[in-house]
Amino acid sequence: MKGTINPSEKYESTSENAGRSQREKHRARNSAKALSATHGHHTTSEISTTKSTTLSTPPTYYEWKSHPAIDRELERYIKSDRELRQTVIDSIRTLTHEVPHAKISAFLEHDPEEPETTRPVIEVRDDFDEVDQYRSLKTKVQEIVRDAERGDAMVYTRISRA
Amino acid sequence: MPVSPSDFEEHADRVDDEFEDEIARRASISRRYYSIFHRFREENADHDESKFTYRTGDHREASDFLNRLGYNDLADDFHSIRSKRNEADYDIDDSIGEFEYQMFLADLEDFERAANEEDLL
Repeated sequence: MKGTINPSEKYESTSENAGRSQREKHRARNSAKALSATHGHHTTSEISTTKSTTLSTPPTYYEWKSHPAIDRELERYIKSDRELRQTVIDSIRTLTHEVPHAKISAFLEHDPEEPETTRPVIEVRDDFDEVDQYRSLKTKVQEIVRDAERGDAMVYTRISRA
Repeated sequence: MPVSPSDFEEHADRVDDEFEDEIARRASISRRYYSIFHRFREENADHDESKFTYRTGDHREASDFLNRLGYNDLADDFHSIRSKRNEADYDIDDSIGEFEYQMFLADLEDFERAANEEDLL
């Protein structure tokens, strides 16, 4: 669902955020002016690069995301990996349908002891108070994610209690 | 004096027998993770597809190796055990109650059974 705006971000337009956005726009304009003054005339690609760098700096007023459940860091991580991106999106969509009462989120997990180790993870947070329920949910979630996996893409799962 | 992977597990059993508090659960999760990690690495170090180096990165390699073999559920279970071990040792502001401990044991049991079935343990 490329191009969807995360509603929670779209509508967090408090006066403070609106002010921040204006400041960012102002900074972006000033930054472009400074570069222009330093380097003289820009080619089209240089201008494009400058604009892209400035606008990708968080926090932005709102950000395009593949799905609202995907956090920004994971969104950037999967942006250039089509198979992984589709795996994450399809998994979330199916889980949202198949486990409707659960809270679904997707993020990039960092291993505290191996900084180079990052894993795309989908977390399913639900109410359960028996280990058998945990196992049952885990099996279901793993089946859904495995079915969604494409090519070499693999997404890890986490089941948590609400 | 050298120790074996099973010594980690036996120590966890002793901790479980003698204590019932949260720090005991955290210690037990950590020891049980290392027991299965060492067993798994020893068992598969010479496998054609494994790339264990006995240096940093082998925890990741355990999951990656399973993924390369196509055992993604096993890779997922191992990752889950590893994550719970990290939480036990690093996330000290989060509570690890008896139920969280039982969830870890369930993951460990599932991984052990499935890895045994695939002749990987």
